[in-house]
Amino acid sequence: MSRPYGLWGLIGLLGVVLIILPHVISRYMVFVFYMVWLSIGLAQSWNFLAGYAGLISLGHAAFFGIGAYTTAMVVAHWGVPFWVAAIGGGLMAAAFSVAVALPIFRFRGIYFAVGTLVLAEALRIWMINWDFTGGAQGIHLEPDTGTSLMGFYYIMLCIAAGTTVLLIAILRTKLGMGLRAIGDNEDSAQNNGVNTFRAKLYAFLISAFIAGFIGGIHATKMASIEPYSIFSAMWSLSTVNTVIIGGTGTVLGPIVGSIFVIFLSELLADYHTFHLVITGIILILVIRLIPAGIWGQMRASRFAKRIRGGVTT
Amino acid sequence: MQSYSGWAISWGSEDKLTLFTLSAGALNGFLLGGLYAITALGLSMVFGVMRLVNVVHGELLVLGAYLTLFISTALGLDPLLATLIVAVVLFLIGYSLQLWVFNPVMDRGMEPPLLTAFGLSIIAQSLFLVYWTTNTRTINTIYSQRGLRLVGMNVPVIYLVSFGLSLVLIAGIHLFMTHTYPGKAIRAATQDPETAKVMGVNVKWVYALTYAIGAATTALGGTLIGMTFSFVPASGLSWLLKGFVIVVLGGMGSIVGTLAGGFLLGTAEGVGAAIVGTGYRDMIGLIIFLVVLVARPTGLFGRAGSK
Repeated sequence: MSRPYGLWGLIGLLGVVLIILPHVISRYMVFVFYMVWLSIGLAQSWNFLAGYAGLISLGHAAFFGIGAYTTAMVVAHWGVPFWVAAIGGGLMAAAFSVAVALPIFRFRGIYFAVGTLVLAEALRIWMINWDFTGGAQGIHLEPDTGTSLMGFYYIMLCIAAGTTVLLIAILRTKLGMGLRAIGDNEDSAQNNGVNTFRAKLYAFLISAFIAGFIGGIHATKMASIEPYSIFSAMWSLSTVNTVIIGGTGTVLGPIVGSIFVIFLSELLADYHTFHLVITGIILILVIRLIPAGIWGQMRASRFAKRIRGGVTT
Repeated sequence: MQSYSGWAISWGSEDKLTLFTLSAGALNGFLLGGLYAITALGLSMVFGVMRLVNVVHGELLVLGAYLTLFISTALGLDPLLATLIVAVVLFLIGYSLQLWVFNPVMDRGMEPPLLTAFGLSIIAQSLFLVYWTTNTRTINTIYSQRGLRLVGMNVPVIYLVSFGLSLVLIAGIHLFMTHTYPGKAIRAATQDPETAKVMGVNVKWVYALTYAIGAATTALGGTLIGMTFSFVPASGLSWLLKGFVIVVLGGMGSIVGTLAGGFLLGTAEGVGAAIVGTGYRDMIGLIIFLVVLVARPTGLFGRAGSK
């Protein structure tokens, strides 16, 4: 391994800073950072599908929502620790992804995008009407689970870091190569011996598990969930938005995108409705002028080549 | 589509399921299909001609509804007359959007235009919120609340009005496409953009014109939505999804097919809601969409070989 030691030093330093950070900033800023980590986790799980395998899903909210609901139901009925329940939430989301994979993988490109959007909306309407999960009222948990906001900050930080490391690790495996081959050209990947269905299925279920797990943690933090907001298409759409602005198909793009989008909305908090107008304009400009995204563009420039050394980010 | 104005939806699972409620659901649904077809027409045209999945279509409909409400109140006009003014406004907006926002990314595959449209939909929704707040609106007229008896069943007048208008509008667009130069240019650019270009058709202009016409039809779609149902800034998504269902049922990009798709969806929803309950009404179309696309990726009436 010819990795520069400087990079490891930098990562270690960043880790220490992020661990100390919530103790020195305001409670409100801890929440903002919590949302940044949540956004990074969701963005990485989406990037994994879209950025490498080219499967642009507009239905990520479905996995997030399934994870949230499963976790809330399990905690409410059986009283198990929430993080165990959240793993159950992730597994339920993964199970759902496997169940719908066969039909949904018949769609390619934009049809996949539209198909996943429709699927997620159908699920949302189902959840609004399903009495078993509390219908439109949703589920209310005992607010105190013994975990403070700071606790959730650390959990989400671990998820954000964990999914990023997982992505890097998977990209080095046969599955990662298969996904990239699919992203380049699905038919030629198939012809060259990649089992495209299996590769897409693994990517889909890993992505679903992560989104479901994040949904479960977030549901515990919110303590009260209802289908309109938990299954809202906004979760899918803001994730797509974040990754495209940051840089699709790069490891650091979703991180850059999350920081950019969340802090932009904080900066424009006084004009709260206009921040989405500006985000929309930025999205359109990024697609038109720098399709590789902010990080993708920086990576191509000399600045990035100097700091990244031999490591592909 | 959360709430219905007037008494229009007195049928549904709240009543006991009988042959009568079932056929009332089917009749009302079928007539409502005309409205559905109008709301999906622009989506279908834009997709058919330039393979653009126009996810901002729902917001164009909602914009049409808001503008009609605004203009008809300001000028004291009947909403259907105000729609003519709104159609001109939306035509110009659509033309500019295609020319300056979509055309530059059209040659980069299907995803960039889709995501650009998605960016526009975020912008539009936020602007609606700023200017018109989250209040639920309806466009009220004397006839939008009325009903009449048809073969022993209650039918809202507005369903009949939109049924008639859908036939007129779709016949008009069909004639435009087959009998005028711009219409022929649009069809030429649809079938083979490269050859059309060689033959002297300005494809970028054709695209802008198509988008503009599609946007103009959303003026009527929006008005009818406002008169029949209610709307809020975020209403666009459910109408966009309905549009997808109709386009898939009617065959991608076929104008007459859109009418058939509208009737099919309306009838299926009417019958389905009578059986499983109105709460699941919006889900019926989405399930049909998924089933049809999985079984027949070209759409129900789509031509084989066309993607």
